[in-house]
Amino acid sequence: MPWVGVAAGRKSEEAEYETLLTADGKLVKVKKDHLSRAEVVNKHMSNKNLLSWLGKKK
Amino acid sequence: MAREKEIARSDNASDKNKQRRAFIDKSMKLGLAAVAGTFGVTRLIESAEGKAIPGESVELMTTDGKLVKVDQRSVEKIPEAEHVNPREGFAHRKFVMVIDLARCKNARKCQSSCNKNHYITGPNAWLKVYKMQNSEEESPYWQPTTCQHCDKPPCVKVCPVDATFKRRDGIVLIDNDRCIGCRFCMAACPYSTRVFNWGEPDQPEEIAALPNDLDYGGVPAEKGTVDKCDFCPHMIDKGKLPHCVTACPNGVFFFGDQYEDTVTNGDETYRLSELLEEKSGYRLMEELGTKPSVYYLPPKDRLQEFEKGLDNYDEFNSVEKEEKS
Repeated sequence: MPWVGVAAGRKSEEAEYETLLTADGKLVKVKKDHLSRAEVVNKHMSNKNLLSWLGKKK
Repeated sequence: MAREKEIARSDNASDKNKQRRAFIDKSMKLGLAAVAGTFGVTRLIESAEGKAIPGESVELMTTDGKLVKVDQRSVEKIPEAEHVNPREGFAHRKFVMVIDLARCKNARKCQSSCNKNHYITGPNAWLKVYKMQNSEEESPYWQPTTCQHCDKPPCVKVCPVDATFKRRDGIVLIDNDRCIGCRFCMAACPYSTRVFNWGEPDQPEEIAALPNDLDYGGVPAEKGTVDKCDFCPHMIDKGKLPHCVTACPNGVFFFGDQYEDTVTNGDETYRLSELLEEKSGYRLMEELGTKPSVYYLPPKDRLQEFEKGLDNYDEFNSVEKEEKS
């Protein structure tokens, strides 16, 4: 049944967050367990790529 | 008669059958709705917990330099920081100044810009340029002196009313509304950088009418209170350098953040640690343990003649007075 395992799977109320940067230079937070499932586009951004991603001069 | 009873019984049974069917029908629908509803709730919980539910994704950068794609729904905004509390100062900052004595010509543009922008009208400027000579064998040099913004400030320790205070970003300020003019802080300061407003400040009316703003030290000035260099937190708040730094035509003053290990005079930027090591930077009266935030680079390889600065030199006049007709 769909509700089976919901209670068992629920973790503690205080979730751990990670701070991340958006392309428009703002800070956001995402739960750590969401992040672990995220698709990695680039493992190590170079400074040049970072500036380009931020829309700043290369 | 019997036939009529038989028909009535038959109708009655038929009605009960219909009611039973309707009940089963309703129960089935209710059951299905409950299952569907629970499934929806489960999906919402799953969504909140970040299980794989397809949706619009957004690119984000992690603190260790990875670029990742995250479901838009799992991204939460971080509320923007409120305006800096003037008593607390900027978080994660430690402001420092480096003064390169080899470059100073006593042009006094630093002093006039500071006086003008802080509406200093009293007898003494907050920034003074001293004529220095360590011994007869050494040639003299010019030494601009500001508040040293000590990490162990004796002035803060002796203030009986908590008017002068040190912020977490290293800046030492004075709350003129709290200051009672006892001048203990002036006596305690080994650098003699504090000034006292003996008379009614001759400020423009619009400035005098301003409310006391801790973020804009000493503006408006108040009679019977102490003032001093504030490292221009009102400029830092705008992402700009202090007035003395930008006004100096010789690039004498460098300002920056010790945590970033960087200082700049607007044109040149250096690593603070490298600059101090390479040029043997020092702090005034280091032996006192006050740990000033102002560093000096010794006047070696001087770029100008000392005597030229004498034209501007006036030992007891640091604030130009406007001539009134």
